[in-house]
Amino acid sequence: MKIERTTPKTLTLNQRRQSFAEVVTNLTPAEAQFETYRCFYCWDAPCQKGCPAEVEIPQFIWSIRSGNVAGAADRIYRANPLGSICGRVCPTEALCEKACISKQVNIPIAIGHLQRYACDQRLAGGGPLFSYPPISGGRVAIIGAGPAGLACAHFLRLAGRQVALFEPEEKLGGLLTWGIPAYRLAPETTQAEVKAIAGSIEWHQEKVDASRAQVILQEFDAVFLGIGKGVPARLQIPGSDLAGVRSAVQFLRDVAAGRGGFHDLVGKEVGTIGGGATAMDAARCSLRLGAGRATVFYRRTQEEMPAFASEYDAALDEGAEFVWLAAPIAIEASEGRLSVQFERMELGQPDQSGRRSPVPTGSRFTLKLDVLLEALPSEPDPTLMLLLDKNPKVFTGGDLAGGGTVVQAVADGKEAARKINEWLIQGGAR
Amino acid sequence: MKPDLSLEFCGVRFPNPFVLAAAPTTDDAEMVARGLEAGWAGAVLKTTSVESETVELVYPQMGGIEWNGQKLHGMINIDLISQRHIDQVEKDVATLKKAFPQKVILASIMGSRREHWQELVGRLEAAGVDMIECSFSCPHGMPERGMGSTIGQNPELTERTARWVKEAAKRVPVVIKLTPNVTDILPMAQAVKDSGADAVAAINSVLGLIGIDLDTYSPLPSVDGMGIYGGFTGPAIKPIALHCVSKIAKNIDIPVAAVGGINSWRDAAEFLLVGARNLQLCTAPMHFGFRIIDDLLDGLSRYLETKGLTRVEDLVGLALPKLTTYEHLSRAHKVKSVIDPEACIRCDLCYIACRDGGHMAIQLDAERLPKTDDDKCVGCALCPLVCPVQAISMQRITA
Repeated sequence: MKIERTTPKTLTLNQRRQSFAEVVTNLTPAEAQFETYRCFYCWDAPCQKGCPAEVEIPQFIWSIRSGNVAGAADRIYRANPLGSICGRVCPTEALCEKACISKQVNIPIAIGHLQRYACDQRLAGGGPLFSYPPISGGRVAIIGAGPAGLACAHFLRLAGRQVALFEPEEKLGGLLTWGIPAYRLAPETTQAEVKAIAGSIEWHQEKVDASRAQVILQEFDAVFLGIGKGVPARLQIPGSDLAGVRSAVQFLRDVAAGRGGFHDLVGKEVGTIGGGATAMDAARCSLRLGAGRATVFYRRTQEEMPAFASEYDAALDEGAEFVWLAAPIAIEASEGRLSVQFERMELGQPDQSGRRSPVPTGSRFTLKLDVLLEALPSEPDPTLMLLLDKNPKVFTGGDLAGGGTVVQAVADGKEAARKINEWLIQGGAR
Repeated sequence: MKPDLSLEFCGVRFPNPFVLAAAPTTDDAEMVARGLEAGWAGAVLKTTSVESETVELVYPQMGGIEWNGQKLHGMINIDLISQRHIDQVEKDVATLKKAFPQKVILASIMGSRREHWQELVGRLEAAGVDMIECSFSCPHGMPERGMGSTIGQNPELTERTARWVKEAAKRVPVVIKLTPNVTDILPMAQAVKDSGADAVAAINSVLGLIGIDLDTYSPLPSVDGMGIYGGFTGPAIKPIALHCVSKIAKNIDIPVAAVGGINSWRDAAEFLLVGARNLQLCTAPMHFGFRIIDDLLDGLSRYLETKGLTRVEDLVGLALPKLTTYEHLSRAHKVKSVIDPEACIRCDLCYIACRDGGHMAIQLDAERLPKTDDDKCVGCALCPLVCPVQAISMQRITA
């Protein structure tokens, strides 16, 4: 007998095309309860090993089952201070749920949805999420307030360290705030968890350049660099400086900031270059803003695409179109539109990433588009990379260190906090 | 501030109410140590006997019933007392007591003669045990030798044997574990009280037969094709245990340790509310491991906070004044079933239950949506029990 997985309701496609509201709703108490009954409560559970943040998954599901939902949430929060965020944005199919033992006889437990359920109930119940001890010594500077920096700050504060956070933006959260659209992660959720951490640390709202970094390095006992990869690569082809060609990262930022001027997408044909999460979100945002057509052009195929299956499926559901094995080579302005020339690619030998590489075929085609969004791999800001140069008091994590997911950033921040703490206990730079 | 979960029982302060009951889980000092490290307040070591007692076990010993995919809704065993005699158990007591001075080490004993009971008590006291539990209640195997529930089913034998033990116990409290396999447990608890023993533990397992193998016609568990009645435990026996514990707590002035069907902090809170001062678990840790102590402690602690209580002590017995007799239940209290159409998923289980098992008071509309006929509904409350999505509530009718 197959007992179906209980998943939350999602918005209809029509609603999704018109709104930035979260696509996936929260489980109801009855739904969450049903789902917990399917959990085997495995010993030495593989799901837990699949979680970079080491959330005690069987134990928290057991607590939801017993009716101790707040206890479940606090257990999640002990391992991951961004529990509700990760419950929403974790690619669970590639992490905990991939390892779920239920998968062997049935469908994996909806671990992400249950985590979100417990944390959301806890947030709705009010009361402080964390209780930090008084500061007992050790000053640490954290540069960059994304998930890695916030997690590092949180665990350092739990260890009684003083933490100063350097983040120039008007809101904390890094990509959580500026990169993940509201339909995947409600800004209120991000801010609720971010504020629970931020309340216990000093926030210096300033941009850290190379010379400021040197001063910080002198003033603090240790530095955590969590600046991510903030500089998106741009197309280096003829015409890539035309007005209709934009950075997808900047586009998502503008959407998150609620900056106007989106009416110009209504009815337009929007092309996106890339195959990662940013490309999927650029297409999905375009459609929500009224684009007549949103097409993603990727130089390899679906198989090699860095976006997770769930992100791709959602984009596809919402009407995004995909053109595989196509790379732009030149752009021209043409009657107020863009005339984009693509080269057909084919798959060659695997590259360093292990994925088959795109090889030009010489065959070309041209398409007319109104807007071209570049969602190419980003690079870290080079000005601060000097800090990393063999300096034992500088630690790093998150996307800067390879990261790739929010939960990996949390895990990195947690691990860095442990190392920094050890470093401070051993006497640090002295 | 976290509520105080410690609880005094027979003059001994337990760091929390949760104790491992006498069972395979407590037959090995290494396992007990792991349980105590995990957070359990104490353990009742598996029932031991004098060296001359022969204990020959049979296998397999366990059987279970599952309910809609949930394993071990109830479990049966035909295990006996420990094969490890007092010479080994007294060593375990000393070792465990040394390693865990803050935890409570209880030993369970069973004897067939006065001198055996008394020898066991003396040797355990010398080994440093904190409390002694006497099994007057094992329902299978032992009664064939005049031991176990043979004693607990007879008030005279219960009083006499408890008196022997109490006589020998110079230092530590004596707890008598009772069997539910009696028409009324009260005379048994009264006999314990009269003997001067310090407390009762209720209940031991319920005599049962878990099933028959449909291929071989052998009773289960099948020992080479043959079977016997066994001791039924687990979530299914909670109502029986709750009845016995509350009845003793309400009627007889003696401390009660609750055993039987405790699985979650909710069950634990219920037993405390009906007057138990100590809680023993067996089937749940056997099924899921010692780790369940985490949620038992955390859930109970949070429950106390929601009730504004600072000590688990304050919970003990709060439900007892609300237990009454049929005659005293209000006839003026009227309720009726109210179905929430928004929450209803139209499975119509309430409809068929009411039609064939209630009062034909639920009608379906053209869209299969059930609706209660207020004139026909007597308020029996069968329908909310069968509703899978909690769409039905019983609401009070105010005249």
